[in-house]
Amino acid sequence: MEYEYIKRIINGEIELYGYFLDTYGNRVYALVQRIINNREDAEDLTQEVFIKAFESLRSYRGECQFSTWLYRIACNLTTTVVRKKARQEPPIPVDDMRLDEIDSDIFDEQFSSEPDDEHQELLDDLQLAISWLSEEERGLITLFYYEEKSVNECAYILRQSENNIKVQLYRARKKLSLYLYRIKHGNEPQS
Amino acid sequence: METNHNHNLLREAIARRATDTLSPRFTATTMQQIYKVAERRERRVEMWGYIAIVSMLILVTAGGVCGLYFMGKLPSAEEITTFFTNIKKGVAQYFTESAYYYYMALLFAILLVFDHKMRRKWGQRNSDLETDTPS
Repeated sequence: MEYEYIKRIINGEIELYGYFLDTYGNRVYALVQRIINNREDAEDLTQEVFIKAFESLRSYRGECQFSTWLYRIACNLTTTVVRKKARQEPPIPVDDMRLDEIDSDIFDEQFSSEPDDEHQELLDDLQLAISWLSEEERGLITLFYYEEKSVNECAYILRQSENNIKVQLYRARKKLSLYLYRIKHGNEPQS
Repeated sequence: METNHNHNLLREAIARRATDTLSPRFTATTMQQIYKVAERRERRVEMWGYIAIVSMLILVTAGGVCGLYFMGKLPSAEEITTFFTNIKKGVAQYFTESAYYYYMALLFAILLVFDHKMRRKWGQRNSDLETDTPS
């Protein structure tokens, strides 16, 4: 049905585009909010995403879900716009070499919590840690963990190879556990 | 190794990052922008159409001129000047002979506009009087 709508929009029935705004508006808005730390810009960016999607509607051939195609535009536009602006850097930058040295078990250790209070605290810390990731990493973990997109779909949306996505996911998880360790202990774990 | 617990925790934390929804005016304002984009695109297509027509005309004319030049049938500068002078003379003569008719047409148009204005003014006045009159 959606592809049919798109064909009709291309043929001049522009008012039908409202259907896509109503259906996907909030989903794209949520994705943009999760990628950027500034919520005020999110609505403007969402509007830009839909305008850009309208302009390139002819290039959509129905090879994937329309939402996936929209996410591809949203991720690309959001990271480009954020890159142009001054980016918020993590307080303590992570050295890639250091990241490789850290034992993978640290990940499970950082994510373990038992009582409810600790669970809430862990969620707060995790949210802070996510905000320290780069926009690209936030986009990737949002697509993979929240939107439950496959590695293949993430690769399509972020215009990267599947192997690259797997590596980036692994590194993002390690970074998160490192950030959580820093938040909890105030220093870095021993490798 | 990643567990379901970690997966769910991450999912929950990511979900917390976006709690707002779009403003109710979002669809309307975006559609306004979309219409503007569509209009701009239409104008662009139209402009390219005009450019294509003008380019074709120039090409055809240039082709014709080149053809005449190679066939040795290109008129001389003197012939061209005479041609345009004749046209100018013809146009001037036409306007001199038809001046009376143009005068009449102009007068008719002025009277027509005057009549239209008066009718509008009269109609407006009558409708104002009707609304003022108590029933």
